[in-house]
Amino acid sequence: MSPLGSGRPQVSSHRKRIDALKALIAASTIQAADKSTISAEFEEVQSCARVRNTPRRWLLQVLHSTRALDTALAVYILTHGGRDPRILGQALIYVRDNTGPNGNNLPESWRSTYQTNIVNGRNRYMHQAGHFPGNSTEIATLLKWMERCLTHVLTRW
Amino acid sequence: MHRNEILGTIARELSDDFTVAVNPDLFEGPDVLAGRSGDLVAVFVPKQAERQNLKRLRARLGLSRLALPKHTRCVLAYTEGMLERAPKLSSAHQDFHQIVSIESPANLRATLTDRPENINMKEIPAQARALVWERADFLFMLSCRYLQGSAAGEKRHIKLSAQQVDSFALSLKYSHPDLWSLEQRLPRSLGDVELKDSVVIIREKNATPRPLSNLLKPYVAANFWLNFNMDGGIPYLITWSASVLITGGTSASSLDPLKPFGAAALAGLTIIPETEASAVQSTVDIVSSWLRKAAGE
Repeated sequence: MSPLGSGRPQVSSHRKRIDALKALIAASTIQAADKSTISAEFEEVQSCARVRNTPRRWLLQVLHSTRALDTALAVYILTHGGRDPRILGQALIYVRDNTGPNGNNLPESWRSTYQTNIVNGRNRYMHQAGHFPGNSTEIATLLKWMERCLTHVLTRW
Repeated sequence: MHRNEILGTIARELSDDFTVAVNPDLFEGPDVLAGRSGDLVAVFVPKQAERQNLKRLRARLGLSRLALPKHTRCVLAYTEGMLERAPKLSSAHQDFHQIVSIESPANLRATLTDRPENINMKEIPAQARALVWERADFLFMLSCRYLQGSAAGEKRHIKLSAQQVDSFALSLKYSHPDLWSLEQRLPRSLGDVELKDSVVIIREKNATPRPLSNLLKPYVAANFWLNFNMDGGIPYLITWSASVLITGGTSASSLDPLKPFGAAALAGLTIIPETEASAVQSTVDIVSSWLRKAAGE
């Protein structure tokens, strides 16, 4: 019997996930110009699928998806009276320490989960020479955590 | 009319005004999700299993309402053929914000692109939502720990606020008294089920290996109804319990192993692989202890 978590690796275009994120952004209180910028950045994740060199493709997908998340969180915080957080880690701390439009704070357990699964993972690839994501599953997992983080903030914060 | 054609028709009607996602990557979520400024539309087209059992459709709606932003407008779209074969579908109008026939193009467009301010949008009370999310967070984290191969105990101790406890009491008011007995409502058809310290332990009935997401759907729906009552489309929490599903032959998608866990957690369900009796007992103790602490006992 296979344990949970095992299974045949799959290749995905991430299309459905990106479309769902764009729909959520479109319905949010973020200003129209920023929505376009964020959607375009998410769209780049999909466009990268055409890059033949796979480590480079995965690295670009990490870059575009985290830039989209960084911007989405920053402008959402700004829209709701916060200061512009320069980095993702600061944005997570801000939503933990301040109550959002839905009247909630991000619990510390979730902040540290997102810090570990998104920020730390992303930083390794962005700042350390020679480091590339190992496979497409890693990208899918990172995208999933980003979606969860963004949905969490837009829906519950 | 094929399902893909139906979803394509809906997407086309929305595409001028909305950013549209067909089959968005949400476990037990809507079939089409579309957003424009201040308006998020979730369209549900009943699947065959849901037409045979309306409770499956209502559970999907309830879970989506809990998971998506509070201003989400939920629309049921159907064909006349669906209605002929499942006449009870028409009673779903009380749970959805809007209901529309696919075969009436003008009406379909007008309904889908209606402004939210024209619709009576009854929201889930914020405290009730927060209460469900507290439990879902805990159960999701627990599933993830087992998925990652770590059975470490949950260290996060939370306590529900007085407002949350009040909200739960309010939920109980909306439920029918004969729904209160957890013992009577256990989903025994789904396998070997027992109740220990407010924790429902379910051993998967079918050990044939199959994808986790397929396996989970009936369990998620059954646990939704074990935990919630729906009134006017609002899911009201009616028990402070949680379920542990012990699965045998499953294979989670390696691409996105987390996907089904979020919806399962919202329905009050955590998933662990088949393991020794002592490990199951340890999980039950962790969940039971969390439920008691959260309720301030």
